[in-house]
Amino acid sequence: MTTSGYTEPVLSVRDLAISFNTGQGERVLLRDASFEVKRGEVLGIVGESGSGKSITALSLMGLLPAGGRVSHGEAWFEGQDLFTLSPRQLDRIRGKRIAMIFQDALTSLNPVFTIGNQIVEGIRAHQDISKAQAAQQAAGLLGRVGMADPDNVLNQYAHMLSGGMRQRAMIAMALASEPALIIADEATSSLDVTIQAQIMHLLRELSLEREMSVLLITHDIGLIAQMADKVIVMYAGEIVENTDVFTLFEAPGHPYTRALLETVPSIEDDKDRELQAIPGVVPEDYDAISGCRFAGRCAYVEPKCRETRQIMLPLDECRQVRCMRAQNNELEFVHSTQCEASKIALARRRQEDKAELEERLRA
Amino acid sequence: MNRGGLLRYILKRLLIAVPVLIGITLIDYLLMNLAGNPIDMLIGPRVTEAAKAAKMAELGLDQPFLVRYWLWLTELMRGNMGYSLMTYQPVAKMIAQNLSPTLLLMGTSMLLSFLISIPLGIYSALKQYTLRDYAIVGTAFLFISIPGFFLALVLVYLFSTKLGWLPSSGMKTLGGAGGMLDTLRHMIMPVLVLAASVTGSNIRYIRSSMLEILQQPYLRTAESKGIGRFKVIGKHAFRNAMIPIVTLIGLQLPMLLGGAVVVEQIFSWPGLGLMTMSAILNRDFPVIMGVSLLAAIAVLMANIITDILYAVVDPTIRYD
Amino acid sequence: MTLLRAENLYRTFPAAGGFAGRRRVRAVTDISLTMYENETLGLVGESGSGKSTLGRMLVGLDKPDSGAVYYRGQDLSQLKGQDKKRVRTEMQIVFQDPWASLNPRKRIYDILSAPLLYHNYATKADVGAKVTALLEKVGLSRESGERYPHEFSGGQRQRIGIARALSLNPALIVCDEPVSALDVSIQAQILNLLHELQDEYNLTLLFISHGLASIKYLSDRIAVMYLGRIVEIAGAEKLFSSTYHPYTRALIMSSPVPDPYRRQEPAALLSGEIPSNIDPPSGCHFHPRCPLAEDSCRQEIPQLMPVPGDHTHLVACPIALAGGGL
Repeated sequence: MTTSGYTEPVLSVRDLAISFNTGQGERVLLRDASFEVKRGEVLGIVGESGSGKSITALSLMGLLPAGGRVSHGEAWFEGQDLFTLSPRQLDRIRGKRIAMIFQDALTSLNPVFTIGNQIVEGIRAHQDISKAQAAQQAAGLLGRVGMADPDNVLNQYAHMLSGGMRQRAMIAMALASEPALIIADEATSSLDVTIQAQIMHLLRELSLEREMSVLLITHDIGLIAQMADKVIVMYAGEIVENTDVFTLFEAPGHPYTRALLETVPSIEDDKDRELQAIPGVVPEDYDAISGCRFAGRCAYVEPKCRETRQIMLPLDECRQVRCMRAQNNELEFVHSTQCEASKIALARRRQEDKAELEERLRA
Repeated sequence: MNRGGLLRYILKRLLIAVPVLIGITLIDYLLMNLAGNPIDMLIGPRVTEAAKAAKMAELGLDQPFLVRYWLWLTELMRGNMGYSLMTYQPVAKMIAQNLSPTLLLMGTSMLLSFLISIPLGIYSALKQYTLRDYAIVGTAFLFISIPGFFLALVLVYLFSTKLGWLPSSGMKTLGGAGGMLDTLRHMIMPVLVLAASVTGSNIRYIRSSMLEILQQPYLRTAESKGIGRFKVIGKHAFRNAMIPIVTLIGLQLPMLLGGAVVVEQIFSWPGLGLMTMSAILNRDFPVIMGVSLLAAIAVLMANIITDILYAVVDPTIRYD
Repeated sequence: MTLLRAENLYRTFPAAGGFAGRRRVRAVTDISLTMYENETLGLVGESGSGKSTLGRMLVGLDKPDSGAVYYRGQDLSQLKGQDKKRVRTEMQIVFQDPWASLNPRKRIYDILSAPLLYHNYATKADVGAKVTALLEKVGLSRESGERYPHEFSGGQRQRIGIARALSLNPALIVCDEPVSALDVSIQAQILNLLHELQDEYNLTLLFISHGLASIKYLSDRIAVMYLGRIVEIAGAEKLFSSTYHPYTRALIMSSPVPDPYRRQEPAALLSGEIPSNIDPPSGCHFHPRCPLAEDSCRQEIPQLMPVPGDHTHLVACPIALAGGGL
């Protein structure tokens, strides 16, 4: 599914399943997840709370909380299956080849160490250089992420910085060893809108500049539209749609995606647009549901949906969905020829971005 | 800058301490007045009524309260804390004599308790829900539950009466040459008793603080940088654990002076506790007031030290 | 018909650090506002804008340092006794955090019946029926009354909060970020519910949020706040179709549109951080980040002036007004 001229996948996840040991026994909170991230690509993972998007990311970094484990699947990254590595072996990859940015920078940064201390630590974990040299690198990184007065910031503590500055510091920390992949888990959700826009554009710029792949995890489909090239939509522990960003918005293949698009307001709406609320709530014990997990809220549900386990299948060249009715051609809204247009749009977007970057660098 | 912030914080703290200190002396003097005629406290024995009256006039003790307070304060600053009604000794001298044995005892037991509770508390938190965790917590609970005097009596029975290994009272062997080793032998049991209960509660407190720290998101960030599990716990978690440890130190510092009363009784350890007990039993007001004043000042100083230590280990406090 | 009128409200709070009273957080500075019956007024702003503080002052939950709030012509701070009680019932608030705003130890029935009984809106005999009616109005079953808050989801708790606000037949409800803590698929449910209830009960709503999209959806008029002041106020559509104030423009440009064909222009994004409201920039608070800033902006505080041809559209930026809108 190469829609934009990217080459080999940097990350290839196959049949991932994650289970948690809770008080009531073992629960499979994520199942049957497969996706790819190509070099320099931004893959958006969109889903609500409890959809499994966060634990997917954490599992790749070996950071699942106590009680969680990868019960099935492979994650191929630079020739290795991440899930077969010991913590020591993983340490050689995380912070170096894959880095992660978290949601709340205030609690994700250690309050008793300076920013400089924490960035330098990350640098020296993977490079054999002196503290002074690492500090210089750190200052350079802070400058690159748009921090005014980097030398001063090195000596500050997390609580002295504003939310936006803290998040920039986290990005600087993540960039330290020029990773091939950055995972941003709701990295801007707690920031103000104008700051969020700055940070997101910084990320996209860095991705272009360094041919760095980004796994962008968010609940905000507006962000997805602006930032992502490819998108996977998650619901109740499953991936329900896998497509590119243009197709997602113009011709969604899964009823949940469609419902999501109808339920989210946009500043471009007319005043008489009506938001279509999705009835019901995400089922609590969704791991016990064998049929379609969205059935309880789906406008197109039929009895067979609840009885049959749904699997991911391609609808066409650029869409994969987990919905038997869509796969059997039973849903009107699914018919589309968007794929071609999307390929063109993606290519054009990439060109525009590159041109803008070159202009920025020349200036 | 940060150094400046710390210094400014310390100065502010010391400045605030001055009015508190004055307040302490004021209250102490007030209480003394309620207890009796201050002249009786300041003068020695065997003085006639006439001489007393003359002295009162001379010292201006018929003066208003604040003047008398001021006079008393100046005397205090010269080191005159009055005379004991019982021993006729200057109170200041008595306190000085009895201070060092108490400090020795309490200091050693505090040190011992921290040396044991910090590693055990942290280890217990790291191994939560394992057998070792339960064992440590259980033992801690046991030691909290055993009353100090009971433990003391058991130890005395075991090691002095039955086994004859350790002396059961005093600070040095009667008629002996004394010396460090001798004092050490005398110290073992009282220190153990003092340390036992405190260690128990320290372990539990450090353990629960550590458990909270282990939940913090910044540990996950540290791990995501690939610095290794050892550094995540040993550097990032541990450094944050210093904050609750400082809390504990702060709470227990004042005990350096007064925490040993019962134990000193049982082991006849010649410290402040013993002295204060007999003063109380004998209504020896000057001694009691002197010790109270000292205790109050000790608490004040402990608070200041603790606050400063906090600012050193926790940067979020110095920030203005 | 004017329901509520605020005149020159000021509110500051002591800031952490410094000696008592020396440093102050200037939460709300010189705000005057009118709310009309049956309208939904949206209040949008980022951190430090003062929107929550303003919302609380408008319903009397907080007293301004100076300035006054008039409800149906009566000064809120001058009300006493029975009058005060009555006005209280006419203004209600729905809070942001559905987890913190319900007493976890009370059953839903108790939470909803208490205000009814206290204000004598129901007797012991008929309060049960009234509570049931309220629950059903917000889409919950009668049996919900028997349960405790922790047994409900975030969206359901927010419905309970709305039921509570409705119970005393208020004229005005302040909704302080009512959907921010909820999942995306639930937000529309609550927004639609508020819309329906407003129609049915002729409510006036003050809708406070940092999300422009949901504000546009619900509001008739929108006021944009920055560091304690209102910078622009206009009809909902007008605010977007003829934006005047550069901050409003930046806010609109920064809100990600869920349409990949409509991309944000990085050049239109604001640079710099949001200044602290402890020591806001002089003159127009926005001048350090403003693309239109001139020398005068640093010295003079701009007043809200009407846009040519539309006296309901006010803007606090003489340069933008002269320039003719964006």
